[in-house]
Amino acid sequence: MTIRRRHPLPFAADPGRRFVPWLIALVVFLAALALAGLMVLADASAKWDRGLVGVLTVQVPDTARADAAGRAAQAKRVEAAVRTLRSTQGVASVRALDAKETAALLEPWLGDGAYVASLPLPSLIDVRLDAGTRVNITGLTGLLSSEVPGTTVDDHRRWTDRLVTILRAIEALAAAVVALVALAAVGTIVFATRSALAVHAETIELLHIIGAPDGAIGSAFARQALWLGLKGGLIGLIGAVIAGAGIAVAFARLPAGLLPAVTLTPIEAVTLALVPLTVAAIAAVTARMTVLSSLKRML
Amino acid sequence: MHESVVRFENVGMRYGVGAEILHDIRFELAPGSFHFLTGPSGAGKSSLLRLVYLAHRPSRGLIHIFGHDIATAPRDRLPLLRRRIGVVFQEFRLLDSLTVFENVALPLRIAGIDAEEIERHASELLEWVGLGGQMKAKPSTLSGGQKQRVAIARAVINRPSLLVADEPTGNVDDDIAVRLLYLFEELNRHGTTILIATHNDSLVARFEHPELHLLDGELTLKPRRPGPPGARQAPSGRTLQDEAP
Repeated sequence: MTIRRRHPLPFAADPGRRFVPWLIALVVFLAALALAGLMVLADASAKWDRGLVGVLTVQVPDTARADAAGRAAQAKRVEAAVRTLRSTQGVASVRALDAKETAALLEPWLGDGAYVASLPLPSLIDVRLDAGTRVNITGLTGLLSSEVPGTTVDDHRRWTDRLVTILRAIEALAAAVVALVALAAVGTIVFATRSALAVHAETIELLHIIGAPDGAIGSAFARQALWLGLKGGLIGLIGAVIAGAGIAVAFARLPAGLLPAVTLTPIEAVTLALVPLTVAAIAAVTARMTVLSSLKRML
Repeated sequence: MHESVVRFENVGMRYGVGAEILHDIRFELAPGSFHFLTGPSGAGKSSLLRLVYLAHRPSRGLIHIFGHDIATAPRDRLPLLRRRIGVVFQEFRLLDSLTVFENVALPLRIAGIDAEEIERHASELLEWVGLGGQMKAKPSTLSGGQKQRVAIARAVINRPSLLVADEPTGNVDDDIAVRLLYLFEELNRHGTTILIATHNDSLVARFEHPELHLLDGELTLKPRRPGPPGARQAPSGRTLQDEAP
């Protein structure tokens, strides 16, 4: 005869055993996605907030002369600006856009009519900075203007500032979602534990009378909740990873620009992996506290 | 002088905000004593037993169990006191999810006894109550008498200092009831204090033990009454499985 270490509390018969893992899976799915979104947005907004987009657009005003001499003079002005930019520290690449490319940028607003070529459009220079480099825009503008009068430098700060404000609001919302789903997890476990307590009331009282310490009964419920939490949490995390990967692929297909890259640092990935563990731990602690508070009402 | 195993002083009890069902209960159980708790159905016998086996808090008064005032004893001390009390419930309260063996072994598991010892004790005890062949059976497959023996085995496996039984003869015929009482007497001879709630007057009359009589929530002590001739002639050393179904 061998003793089986089967627990006297028959958790297998619990009504919540089936639905709790799915509720926790949903909670973890939402929490993981919200947290991943929060981390991606935080990275992007921090980057924009620091003015480290890494892209500058330099505008060299047209000479307003449409003849060949005018075009040659403009080309020289652009060349001078490009030269100055290339000698500037922190600049990774400089590329002057030709007239066709400039016209293509304006096409959404001005159409593709031949008259666009006759407009005195400024020449555009696309400047990419070294990663993490901050350039003194005022100084650079002054330097360029001294070489090519009228030249302006746009670091897109005007609209990235607005974007950062919006992103900060979305971040706060995502943080609130994470907090709310944590509360939902607690509520789910309290409800499930109370149901289980009601189902096992007689067995719990018997164990209590036989001399089981409160902690032992509480731990049994905590282990059960931990197991259900881990099971549900894993399902939820897998779902969130699949959904997140889908979003990352969709973002990657968009033209490169200022959209945030959906990538996570190793620390962020570990943080995300901790979500189901945290939810399972919350579930275990909640179950234990619920049981202990219920047992305290007995002698 | 030995300390009382159980001492109640002016104990009152009510459930929730309901009317008081036990009033000013006072009694003592000396170590090694044997008492019947009698009274009509609804007199409060089960409630009084619940107080004795520490399942319920009194509304007022003092309860001392093994010399500990349960109102002031630290909460983590109470499980240790409960482990010294064996309880046979009227409706057995066996756990259907566990086997007969696991049910009987439960108090030892809870007390943290090592697996080898649990196995030896539980097997021996189940053999002794005549259920050695049904260790792996589930309680739901047993007869009433067999369940009763499992419940008794569970109550006595950790050699309790106090055995409390609530209508242990309620589900069996008179013959088996008498044999059960012999078993309890045998335990009593080994030093266990016994308190048995019953409303079976003929059984009480047959055994010469003092009687705590409960009527309308009030307790009176009736002295030991002599049993009918031949009532105490159970052969010593006979065990429950010799005669139980």
